[in-house]
Amino acid sequence: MTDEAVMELVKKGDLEKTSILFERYQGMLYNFYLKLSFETELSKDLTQNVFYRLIKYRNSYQSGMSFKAWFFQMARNLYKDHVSNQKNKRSRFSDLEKLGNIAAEKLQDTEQAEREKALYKALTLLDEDQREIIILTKFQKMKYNTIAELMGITESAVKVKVHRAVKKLKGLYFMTEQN
Amino acid sequence: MEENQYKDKLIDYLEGTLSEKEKKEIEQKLSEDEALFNEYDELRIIHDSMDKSVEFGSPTGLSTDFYQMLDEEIEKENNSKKFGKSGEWLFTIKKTWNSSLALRIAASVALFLAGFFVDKQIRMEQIQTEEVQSLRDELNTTKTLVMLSLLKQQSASDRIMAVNYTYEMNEIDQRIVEALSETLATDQNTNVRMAACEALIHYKEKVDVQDVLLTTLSNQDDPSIQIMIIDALISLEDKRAVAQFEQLLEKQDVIDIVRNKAQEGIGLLL
Repeated sequence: MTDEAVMELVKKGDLEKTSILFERYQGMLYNFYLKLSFETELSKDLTQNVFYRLIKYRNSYQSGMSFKAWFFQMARNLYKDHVSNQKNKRSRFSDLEKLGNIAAEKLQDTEQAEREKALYKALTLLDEDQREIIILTKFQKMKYNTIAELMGITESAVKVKVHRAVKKLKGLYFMTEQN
Repeated sequence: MEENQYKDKLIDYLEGTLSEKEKKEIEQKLSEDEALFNEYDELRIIHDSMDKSVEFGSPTGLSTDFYQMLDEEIEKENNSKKFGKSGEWLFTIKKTWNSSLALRIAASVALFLAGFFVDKQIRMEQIQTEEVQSLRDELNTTKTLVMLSLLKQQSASDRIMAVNYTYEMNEIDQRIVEALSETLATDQNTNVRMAACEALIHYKEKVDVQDVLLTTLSNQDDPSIQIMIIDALISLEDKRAVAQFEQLLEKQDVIDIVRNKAQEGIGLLL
């Protein structure tokens, strides 16, 4: 069953079907937040919160819309709300090192482990918007047209943004790797 | 493809979105142009890094939290179908109640304490009512005694104070009426007599002071006291006063103002 078909059922009041969407998207969403914020507790909270919103605002899902686009639209908005909240600005990327170490352990390959750490560092140095689009395209492998739909911009605009962000990231990555 | 376009197409090449023709063109160029190749290599490394980047597993508790939330939402939905909007409220209350042991403990403690205090309060009130009543009685007796003893004092001001005490008494008993009457009839000080007279008149609604006032009128020689008593008797509308007024008129030493007042009283009462 497609995400969209499941979402239609949820919208009609079959809330139990939300679990299908949860199983499909929890990992993706959690990783999206992790690489956006590099804060584990926050990422967990936000992930939980998006699924809560999915149920609460299920009626705002419009038939024919890509579920993924709608879902990540909520996820983005939630994160933006969090960031714009003044009191949340104090500690940022607090688990950056911890996550780098966990990733390094998993990778075993030392070179790849070092690259992973450099990548994280470079990500945190990007603008919020650029980091986001990199995560969506390069980590989540989301298609440009889906991103266009969720961001409300054209596909070519997405492409331009991605290319700029990748170039910027590349610069930051090799800069941090050299250090 | 133009020279500067190659660089822009590198990402497309890595993403695999180029046409076969463009792909060949780029590959050809890469083998010739070292700077372009270096650029490509860096982009490849970064893409490779991102492709191989670690996916973190879901944190512990996320699933449990989600399914708990889902259950709650489903129950809320069912309640809301059954009971409408108020169902949601009921649910929220129920949820808070179930989830918080502290709340339940607090509620039982509160209930216990409330019961304890209500019970205590009821008992206290019973005791208090009885106590207050006996205290009040005692106080009245004390005041009466104080007043009676003060009336026997040498100093006129003490005696006036004693008379004024009677205003503070909630209940006025026969002993006080008698004491005041005696003071009014016999005290050598006009001011004391006047105060006693005022006090008696003050209680004219509560106790039977008419007889006292009637009998004392002819014995009084102070005009202000005479007028005071006349006024009081008129307001009491006691027809027996007419005889007293007439008796007063017959007396030689009564001044004109008092006479007029008595005349007026006779006119009003007849």
